[in-house]
Amino acid sequence: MVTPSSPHAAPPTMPRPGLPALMMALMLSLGTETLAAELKLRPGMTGVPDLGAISCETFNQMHPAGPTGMEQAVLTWAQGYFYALSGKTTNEILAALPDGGAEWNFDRLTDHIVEYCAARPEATIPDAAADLWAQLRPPANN
Amino acid sequence: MTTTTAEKGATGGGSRLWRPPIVGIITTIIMLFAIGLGHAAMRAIEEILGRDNTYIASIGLGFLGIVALWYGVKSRIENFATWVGFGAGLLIWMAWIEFFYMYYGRKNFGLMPRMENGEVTTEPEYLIMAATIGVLFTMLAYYIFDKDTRCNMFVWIQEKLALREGLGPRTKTARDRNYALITFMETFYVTWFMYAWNLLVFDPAFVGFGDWAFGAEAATVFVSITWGGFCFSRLIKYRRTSSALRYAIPTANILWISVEIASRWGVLTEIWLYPREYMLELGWFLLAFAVMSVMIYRAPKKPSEIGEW
Repeated sequence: MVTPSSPHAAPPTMPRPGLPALMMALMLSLGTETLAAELKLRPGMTGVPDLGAISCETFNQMHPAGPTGMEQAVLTWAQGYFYALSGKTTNEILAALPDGGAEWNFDRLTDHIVEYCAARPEATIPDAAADLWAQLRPPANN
Repeated sequence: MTTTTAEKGATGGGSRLWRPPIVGIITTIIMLFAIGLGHAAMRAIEEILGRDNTYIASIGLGFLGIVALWYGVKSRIENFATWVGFGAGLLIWMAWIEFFYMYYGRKNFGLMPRMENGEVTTEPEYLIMAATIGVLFTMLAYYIFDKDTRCNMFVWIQEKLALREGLGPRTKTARDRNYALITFMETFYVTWFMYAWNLLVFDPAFVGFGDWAFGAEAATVFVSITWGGFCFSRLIKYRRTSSALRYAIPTANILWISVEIASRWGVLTEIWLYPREYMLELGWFLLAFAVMSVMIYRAPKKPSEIGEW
């Protein structure tokens, strides 16, 4: 009997692409499709699934129908954007601003985005957040 | 007993106009116009005062409705009491429900609108209203099990549930009933029920999207026209204008569900939602509503409708 460890044993052959390999390929293909699918909200939910993807025109339409909610949502989106750029929370960013300027509070921060979008319907929410960031970024980064 | 003008009218001797089916047709049209004009009034108040001032004004508007109701409740004239109860119901619904929910939904809580294909489909105030369906049905249970109820639908439910014998005889005669309060509550609950029905049909969490949603909407139109048509077929037999007016409230509101769905399908433009753009058309609607209302108010009455028992 020839054992696999024997020096006279036949060289090992490549495993044949059986059922496990086919399943793996299928799962990878499905996984790719899942990643490519458009993000959707669960039925009945409010707002939009991807705030960064909407135009200011859409934001302008939604804002009167839910001003406080839209302002909170867009500020939350912008806060993630600021954190990604600076590694700082919004309170830390505001605390680092030079003294003497006008106080940045919820209304002033969100009004900036609302007014930006009102003036530029063709712009996007990331454009509006970037414009706000230009007002808030630390002086050293200017 | 002397024969009054009202009695003559009631028997048809004094008027060829105020007989079935005219009373039922006119009161239905009045109520359909009232719903549309109520929407227009809401929008006009928002546009004139601005949202923030509207929220403040709504407190006073609601109290105005309560003061009107106070006058109506004191009156023993059924005709007057019915009109006042209806007006107070509309005003309080608009001020203390619609505007208050608007304040809480849009401003205080900070809800976002529901969207579909990039368009706003449900505003925050209606999201809150949808959550009151349980409260609505809990409160309707009172009327379903109340032995003094005269609402045709509740009486029918009581009969089907074999409740009439167990509930015992009614304790109130027609003379004991307070028509301002009855019409006020009827206007309020009918409006609430129709909103709840509409909001359920428009909620994708329950009816989904696409064909399922269309199926639910089409079924609703069928129910609305069948049910509303049935009510209308009864209403056109009415001779008493006060009773007809009260029965026209649910009749018109049930039919109105189809209007809301037709608007959703893009079949018609709800001009009452754009008072600035359709001022002239709405002005004619208002004039027609006012003329028909005065005609019905002054139409010959039965003695019981004018406090002569």
